[in-house]
Amino acid sequence: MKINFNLNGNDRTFETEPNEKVLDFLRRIGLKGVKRGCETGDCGACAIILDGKIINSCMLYTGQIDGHSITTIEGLGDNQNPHLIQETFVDEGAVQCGFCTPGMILATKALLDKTPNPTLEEIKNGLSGNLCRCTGYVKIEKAVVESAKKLGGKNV
Amino acid sequence: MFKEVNKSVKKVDGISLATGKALFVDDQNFEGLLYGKFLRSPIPHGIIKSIDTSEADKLPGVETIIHYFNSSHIPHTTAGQGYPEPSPYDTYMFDKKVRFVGDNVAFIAATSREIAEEAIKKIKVEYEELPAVLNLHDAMKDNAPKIHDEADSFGIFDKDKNLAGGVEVNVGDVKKGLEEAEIRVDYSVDTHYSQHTPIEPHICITYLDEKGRLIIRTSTQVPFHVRRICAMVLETPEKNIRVIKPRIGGAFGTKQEVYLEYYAGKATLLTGKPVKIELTREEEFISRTRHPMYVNVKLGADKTGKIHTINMDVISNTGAYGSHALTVMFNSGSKCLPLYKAENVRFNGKTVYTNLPVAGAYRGYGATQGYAALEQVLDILAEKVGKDPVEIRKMNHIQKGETSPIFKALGEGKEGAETFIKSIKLDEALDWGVEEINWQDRIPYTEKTGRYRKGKGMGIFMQGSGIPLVDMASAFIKINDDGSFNLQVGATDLGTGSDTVLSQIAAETLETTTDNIIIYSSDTDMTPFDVGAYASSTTYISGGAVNNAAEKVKKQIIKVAAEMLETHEDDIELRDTKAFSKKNNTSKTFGDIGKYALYINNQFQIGAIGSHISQVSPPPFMAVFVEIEVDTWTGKIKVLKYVCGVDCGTAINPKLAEGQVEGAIVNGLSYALTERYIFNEKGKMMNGSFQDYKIFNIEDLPELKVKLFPSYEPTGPYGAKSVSEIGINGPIPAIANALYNAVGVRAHKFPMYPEFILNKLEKNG
Amino acid sequence: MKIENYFKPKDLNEFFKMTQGHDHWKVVAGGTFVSRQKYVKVHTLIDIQELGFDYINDNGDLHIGSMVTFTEFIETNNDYANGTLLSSFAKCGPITVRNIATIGGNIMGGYYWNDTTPVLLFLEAKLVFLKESSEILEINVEDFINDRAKYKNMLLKEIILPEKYRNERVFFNRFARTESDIPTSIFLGGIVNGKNKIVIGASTVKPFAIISEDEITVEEIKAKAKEIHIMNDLRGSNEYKLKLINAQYKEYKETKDEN
Repeated sequence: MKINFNLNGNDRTFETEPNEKVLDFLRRIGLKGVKRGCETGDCGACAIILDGKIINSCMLYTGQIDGHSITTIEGLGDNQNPHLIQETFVDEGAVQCGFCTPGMILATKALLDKTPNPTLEEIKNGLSGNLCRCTGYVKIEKAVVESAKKLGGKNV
Repeated sequence: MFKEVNKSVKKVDGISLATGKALFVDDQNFEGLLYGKFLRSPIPHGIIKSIDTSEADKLPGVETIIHYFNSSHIPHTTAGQGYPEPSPYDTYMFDKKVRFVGDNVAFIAATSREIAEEAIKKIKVEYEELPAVLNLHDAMKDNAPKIHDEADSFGIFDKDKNLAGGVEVNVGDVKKGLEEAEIRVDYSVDTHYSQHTPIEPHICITYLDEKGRLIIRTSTQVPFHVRRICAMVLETPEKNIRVIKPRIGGAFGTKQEVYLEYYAGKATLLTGKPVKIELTREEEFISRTRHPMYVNVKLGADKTGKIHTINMDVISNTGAYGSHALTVMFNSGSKCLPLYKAENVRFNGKTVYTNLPVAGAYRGYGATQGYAALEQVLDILAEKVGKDPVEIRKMNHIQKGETSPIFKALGEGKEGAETFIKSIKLDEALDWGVEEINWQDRIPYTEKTGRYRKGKGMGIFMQGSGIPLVDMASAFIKINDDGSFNLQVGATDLGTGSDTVLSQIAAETLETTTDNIIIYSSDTDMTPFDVGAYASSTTYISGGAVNNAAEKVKKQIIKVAAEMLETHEDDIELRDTKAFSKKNNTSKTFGDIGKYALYINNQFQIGAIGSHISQVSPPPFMAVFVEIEVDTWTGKIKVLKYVCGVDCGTAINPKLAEGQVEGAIVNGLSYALTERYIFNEKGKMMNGSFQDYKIFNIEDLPELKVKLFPSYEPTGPYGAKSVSEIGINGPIPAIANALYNAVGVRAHKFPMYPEFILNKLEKNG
Repeated sequence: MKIENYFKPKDLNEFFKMTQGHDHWKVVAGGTFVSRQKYVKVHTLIDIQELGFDYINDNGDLHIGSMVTFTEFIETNNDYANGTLLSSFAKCGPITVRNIATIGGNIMGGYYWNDTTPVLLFLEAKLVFLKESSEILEINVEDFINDRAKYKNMLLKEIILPEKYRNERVFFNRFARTESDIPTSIFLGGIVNGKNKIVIGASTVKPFAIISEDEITVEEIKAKAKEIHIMNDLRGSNEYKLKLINAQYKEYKETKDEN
C-alpha cells in the first residue's frame, strides 16, 4: 500500500506493507538513527516525533503515519551541522553508548518546542519514555537544562 | 600540568552518535541477509531423544537448521576471557542435553524473521525430562541431579557435586581468631538474578568477504576472544576469521560472552549468505545474567572495633553453564577482603550449577555480591562496639603503603599479584560524604516513629584496575602527512568513552591535541591485540599501551626533527604539535615532520606499536552515603539522596568518569530495589520485558551527587586507575544500612521490594 | 495469521461495510495495544483516526471521544472531579505511550486498564458504542468490566462522565514501586450522594466498587477483594495486595478525618 507523509520536512510517498511497523519501515528506507531496543514500546530507542509529539515508532503501523508529519534524528542535524541539542548532549557528557541518544534528543526537542523553559519535573516527564542504562540520566537531565538555556526560551 | 588529559574533552564519537550517523551492528545493509532464530528448550533439564525438522525444512525461505544431530561437538566456554580461559569447558554449540528453560535446541536461518519464527514452531523435539535443580542451596545435596555428567567437558571442579568451581585460601588462623575474638559478627545474604539490559540487545551479523573469509560484525566487548573461540568451535584457524566491532549499544559484561557469533558463522559457512542474529528483549533476559550468591561473613574484632579476623563463605550460582563461574566467585573475595586489614582471613568459595539461566560477567563481577554482605557486617560491628559506621571503617580500611595477603592469594581463577596501595583518597571522600548527607543528624531507629521513617546508611568499596599479569593491550600509532596520527587499538569502546580517553592519552604524550588523533578500535584484521573491555581495564591497561606506543613515536619525531632542524635530539622539545630547537630557536610543525619522513629524505613511516601488561591491579576506592524514606505501611523504600565520592586516580576525562559512576549507581539502585527475576516451577523466567522487569527511568532518580577525589596512581597512565565498575557496588549495602537505621530491620535478600520489606517489618513487630 | 489489509475508513458507513460479516479484524486506535500483542489473530487492521472521535465536549456531562489520546486530554487541564481524571491519565504509561495511546483504545485493549478503568468506574462513566447499522448502545463502565467479551466487536465512540461528579472531591491513590512503575494497586474513595464509595483496581484484578450508606470497613473491602479473586502477580502476592489495600484505606481514612 502507498503512504504519503512529511518526513523531516519533505513530502514523501512510499510503498509499505500493511503489517509493517514504522520502526522497521524507517530503518528499511535508511534512517538507521531509529534504533530497535525492545519492540514493546517500553524503551524509547525507536522514538520519533509525530506531529510534534514524541512517540515510539515500534508501536505504530505505517498506515498510521499516512497524512502526518514525522521527524527522525536525521531531520535535526548532521556531523557538519549538528542541532544545538545534539551539540549540548555531547558537551554535557550525556552521550555514552549513544544507542538511546537519538530518542533522548528527539524527546528533548519535542519537550522544548512546547515548553521552552521546562521545570525539572517537566523534563522528567518529557523524557519518561526513554530508557538509558549507561548514564544514570544525570547528565542527560543537565543537557536538557543547558539546551533550554542556550535556546533562550526560543522555539527550536 | 596536563594539557589533554584530566580534561573533559568532547567524546570523539559524540556528534556522530548524537546525530544518529554512527553505525551499530545493524546499521549496515547486507544483500540477501538471513535471519537467525533459536528453538529454545521448554524444560529445565532433559535429554533430547530426537529432532524432526522435516516440516520446517519444507518451509520456503528456510535455508539451514542446525542442531545436535547435525553439528560437531566441541567443548568450550562462552566466557570471553584470556587464553586459557579460567572457566570450565562445559558448553557445546548443541548438546544432547538441555539444562535450563531457554537452552539452545536448534538454530534456524531463514530469509525473514517471520519465516524463521514459523520454522521454529514446526520442529518436533522429543525430550526425556530429568529432575532439575532450581535453587543454589539444593545443588550440592547428595541426591541432587547431576547437571554436567557429559564425558568430554573439562575444567569442572567437581561434576558429581554440581560444582563448577571452588577455592579456599587461608591467611593466619581464622578458627582461632574467631574463637578468641571479643566481638563476633556472623551474617549472611542471598543476592539475586539480574540482567544488564543494554538498550541494544545482543546482535551479530556474519558474512563472507570476497576471498571467502568469515567476517563477524558483532556487538562484543571482546573481539579477539570472539575470533579465538569461534575459530575453535567452527574448527577453522583464526586466520580465516575477521571480527569487527562497530559502535556498541551498551554491554556491562553481558557482551563479554561469545555465544551467538559461531551459530551465525556456521550458518554463513553452510549457506554462503550473510546471517543476522538479534536477540529480542525477552531473550536478552535469558542470555547472560548476574551470578546470584549466598554470602556469609564471620568477623572477629576487639572491643574497640579493630578487626582481626574475617571469614567469607560464598556459594555462587552460575546457572546451567559455568561462564565466568570461577572468576566471579574469586572476585567476591579478592575485591572485597583486601579493603579491611585483618591478621586472619579465610575465603571459601564454591560455584554451583543449577538448571536456571546462565550467569556471566556483570559490572561489579562478584564484588557487588560480596559487598552486599561485608558492608552490612561492618555496620553490625559498629553497632556492637558502639561506634559510628564511618569511624569503624576509617580505623579498619587499608591505607597507603599497605598491602593485603589476599591480593596475592586470590587472582583470576588462580594466584594473584601482590599489590601495595600507592594511591588512596578514601578518607577525603568519606569526610565530604559526611557533610553532604548531614551524617551528624543521624539518629537511631529506636527514636523514630510515624508512617514514613527516614534513615541514613553508608559504605566503602574498592574494585581493581585490570587483571594483573594476565591482561595485555596493545596500540599502534602512525603519523600522517599533515601531522595527524592514526591510533589503532584493540581496546573496545562499548560506549564507555574509551576511544576518547585513549585518544587523550596519545595526544598528551605526543604533545598534540586530541582532535589530531584519529582513532580506530577493535577490528582483528586492522588493530593490534587487546583482551577487550572488561575487568575495569581499558583506561589503565590499554591506556598504558597507548602511552608506550606514543612514547616510541615521540622518539622518532624527535629524531626526524633533529635532522630537519640540524641539531641534536637532546635539543628538541615537542610542544603544541610542533618540534622546537631550543638552541636555534627554530621549529617544525608535525605536518612538516610527517611530510619530511614520508617524502623527502631518509624516508620511513614514523610509527610504533606499544604493548602493556600490569604487575598490579591498583584499586579505585569509593565512599557512599544514602538517605532513604521507608513507608512502614506499604514497605516501599524511596531513595531521597545518594552521595558518592570516588577515587579513580587521575580522571583522564572527568565528565566521562563521572558518567561511568552515575550510570553504575542508577543501575545499582534498581538492582537493589526493583530488578527481580520471577521464575515459574520449571525455572522459566516469567517477566522478560521492561514492563515487568523494572529498571529505573529518569522519573525514578533520587538526588544524585558524584564527586571525584583524584589521587595519583604511579603505575597508571598519567596517574589513572579504573572507574567503570565500582559504582554499582554501593546501592545494596548502603540502602540496607539505611533501612536498618530507619526501621531496625536488616535486608538479607534482594531486591528490597515493598512486599519483602513489609513482611520483615511485620515479623519485627 | 498475517496482517494482510490496512483500512482507514472515512466515515462510519465505510467502517461498517468493512467489518460486516468479517472476522479477524481489529481496530487501530492509537495502535499501542495491537502492536504489543504477539499472537493476536488479526487479518485486517482498521484505523479509525478519520472517524472524528477525537473531540472533547465539556458542557454538562463531559464527553470524551474514544480517539482522544491521554496527552490530548491532559493538555486541556480539565479539572473534572477536582483533577482526578488528570491525575489518573497522567500516569498511564510514559509520555511516549500517552502521546499515542487513546483513552478508547486503552479501555478496549486493556493495556494499562488497571489505570483507567478504576477511575472510570468510580466516576460512573458511560461508554457509548456503535453497533452495526449505527445503532447506539450506551452502557455503564461497570457492565463493560463485567462482560468485556460482549463488546469486543463493537466500535467505542465516546466516554461520558456525568456532571454530578464535576466538583466532587475524590481520594485517588496509586501505589507503584517507583514513580514510573505500573501500579500495584489503585484506590479511590469518596462520598457520593451521601453514600460512601470505594473502588479498587489492581494489575491482575478487575476493578470493583463498594457503595454503602454506612462507613465502609476495610474488612468489607478485603472480603470483596477475595471474592473477586486477587491474583499473585509480578508486583506482589495476593496477601501483599490485601495489605496494600489496608494501607491505602488507612490513608483514605486519615485524609477524610482531616477534612
